[in-house]
Amino acid sequence: MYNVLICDDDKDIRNALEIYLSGQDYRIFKAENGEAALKVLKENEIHLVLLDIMMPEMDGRVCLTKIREFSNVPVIFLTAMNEETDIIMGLGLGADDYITKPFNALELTARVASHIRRYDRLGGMNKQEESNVLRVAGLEINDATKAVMLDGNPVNLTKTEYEILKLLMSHPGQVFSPEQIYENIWNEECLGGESTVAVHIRHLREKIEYDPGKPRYLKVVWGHGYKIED
Amino acid sequence: MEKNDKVKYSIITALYYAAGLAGATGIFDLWTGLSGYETICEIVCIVSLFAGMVLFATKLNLRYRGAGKGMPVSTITDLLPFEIVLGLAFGGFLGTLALMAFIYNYSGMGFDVIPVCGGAGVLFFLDMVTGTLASRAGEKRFRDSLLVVWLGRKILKLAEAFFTKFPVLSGLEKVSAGLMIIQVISLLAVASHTTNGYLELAFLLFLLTVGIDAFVLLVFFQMKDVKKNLKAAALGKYDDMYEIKHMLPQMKDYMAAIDDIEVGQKNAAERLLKSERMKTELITNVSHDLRTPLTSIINYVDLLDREKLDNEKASEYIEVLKRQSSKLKKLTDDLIEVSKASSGNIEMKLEDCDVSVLIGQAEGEFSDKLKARDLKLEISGTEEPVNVTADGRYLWRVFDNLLSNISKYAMKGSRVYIDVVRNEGHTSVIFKNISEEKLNITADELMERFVRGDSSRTTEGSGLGLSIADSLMRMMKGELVVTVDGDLFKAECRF
Repeated sequence: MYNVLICDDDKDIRNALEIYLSGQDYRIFKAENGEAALKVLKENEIHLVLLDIMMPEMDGRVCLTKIREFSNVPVIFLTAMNEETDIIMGLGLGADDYITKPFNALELTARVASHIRRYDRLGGMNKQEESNVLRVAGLEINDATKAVMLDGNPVNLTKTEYEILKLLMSHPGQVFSPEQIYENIWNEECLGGESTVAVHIRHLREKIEYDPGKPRYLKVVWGHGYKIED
Repeated sequence: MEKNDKVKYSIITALYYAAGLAGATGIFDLWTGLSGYETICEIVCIVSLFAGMVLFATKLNLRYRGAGKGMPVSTITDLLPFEIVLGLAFGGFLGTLALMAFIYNYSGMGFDVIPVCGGAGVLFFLDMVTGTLASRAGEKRFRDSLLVVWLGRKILKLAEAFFTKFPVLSGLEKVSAGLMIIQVISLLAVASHTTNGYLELAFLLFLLTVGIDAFVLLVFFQMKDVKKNLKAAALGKYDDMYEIKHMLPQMKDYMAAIDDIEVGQKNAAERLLKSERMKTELITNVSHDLRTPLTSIINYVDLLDREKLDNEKASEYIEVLKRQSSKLKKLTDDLIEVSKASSGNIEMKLEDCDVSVLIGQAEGEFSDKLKARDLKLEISGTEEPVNVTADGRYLWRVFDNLLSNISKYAMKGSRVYIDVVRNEGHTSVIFKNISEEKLNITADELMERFVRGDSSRTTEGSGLGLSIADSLMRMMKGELVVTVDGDLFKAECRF
């Protein structure tokens, strides 16, 4: 039985989150501001925190800094801002992930599950398995079994889509141009094959992203190419 | 090599003097018939004079070749101005003549001392002068070695410094400064020629004019400083301003006025900064305040949906709620984006962006949507990389908006053209398509916010697409030009 702390200043959002998550068998704790959240964390064993950024009095970022002083519990930011700068800063402060509002319920529950599992599993997997696995946050490829998992749920990819994903995940953060991807996968000169690559990328994105319009992992670097963001 | 040259030169010099002296003695003896050894004298003369000339020429050559190259055959005399060397040489010559007279008068050495000393003197003079000339030959070194030339240059430099150090002294001021100098000089001249009675008066007048001149000059110089401070204030560089010592009262007024300007400028800058901060805060707050209730709406509609109500009408209503809340979400996102874009609140990273790659990526994104309406994409100009200076993410937003419009409003089954064109230093990406419905609207009206063609009101879309694209293009130092011609819709992204 895992304990999840929900911290948001809006009552309806807190309740909605509670409803979603209790359906997944978690014990829910609620806090309406940063101070209350810290109190709950100190008095209970919490396995994951959902933390709103914009709250009065103590905002999410300050709260997170205080949490990190005494705990490594996974923290997922809830943010109404989807400015890249805010997100990067939040992750830099020690958050493990972020979800933008309004959020997709499925995505939320899957991410929570994925983070709790990883926190729990720390040091659990044996070395042999680890070497075949490529992982970026909740997205996981096992090259031995050719299985692709998103937050614990299997994803069905075509061979080409799998190859492209594997190439990008082997170098997280690195940008590959359509030409490079083509030559790498098809092993021949890319003459006009850029649009083929673009179409495959789009299909791949639709399969591994909760919101293909706002991708979390497979990012397009416009005018240059594609990358997997870590 | 160097040591050899030095030794060589010393030997040649010694031989030169020996030969010269021998020749001189021989000539003298022949001339005075003192000794009886005429033939020997003749031979000695001829041989030594000949040898002397050869040695002389060799010396000159060595000096010429060695000069300026730091070779040891140059001597200290090469560093001195030519006039000084000339003076020294002549002095040396006179010295030997004096020595000659001294020795002749006070020792009993006889006439032989004449050729030796006199000859030595002449040889010395010749050696020094011609030697130093040989060292300075060529490449204007002779001219540069003259004292007068050196002095003249110094004076010119001083004059230049004087005139450039006081640039504020315009022509008029320079003339009046010149006149003042003349005035002072003439007064001095008058004063020096007057008889005693008028001397005091002339002196007083002189002092008075000097006083006036000094005052005028002081005003000029202070005005120059005020002008400098004014220029610095205009540029906002308040740190460059400096205090003027012993300011005249008129100048104090000017400086006070400049201080007022500075305060005014600083206030304006602060107000601007404050308003920018308020704008950013507003957008952040609006974004949060709109999205928070929207989140709950979407969540609870979703929860309602999951309840799997047995009521058909209820399910229908829930579908409507889902659709509309999704639209509201998109509209909110667009609205926040447009306010960020139009208030310049977006951080743009302008760098090289390959438009050909971008269009290829766009093609991939829209292939399905275009196929759904049987639209064929015709692309030209992307065979080679085409670079523009832009932020890739936002340029994509522009293309995204344009292609989104095209995929919604273009005539089914028609062709869509994307042309990359370069001319006159501009790069343009031109999107052309035929509209499905009539375009009863001008291009300018279309670009306005929330305006959509009449017929498109029934479809998805907020009417902000073109407006956002326009703002973004302008922020990337480009422009979006939309033309409507009958059913032809043309959007040109120009850099």
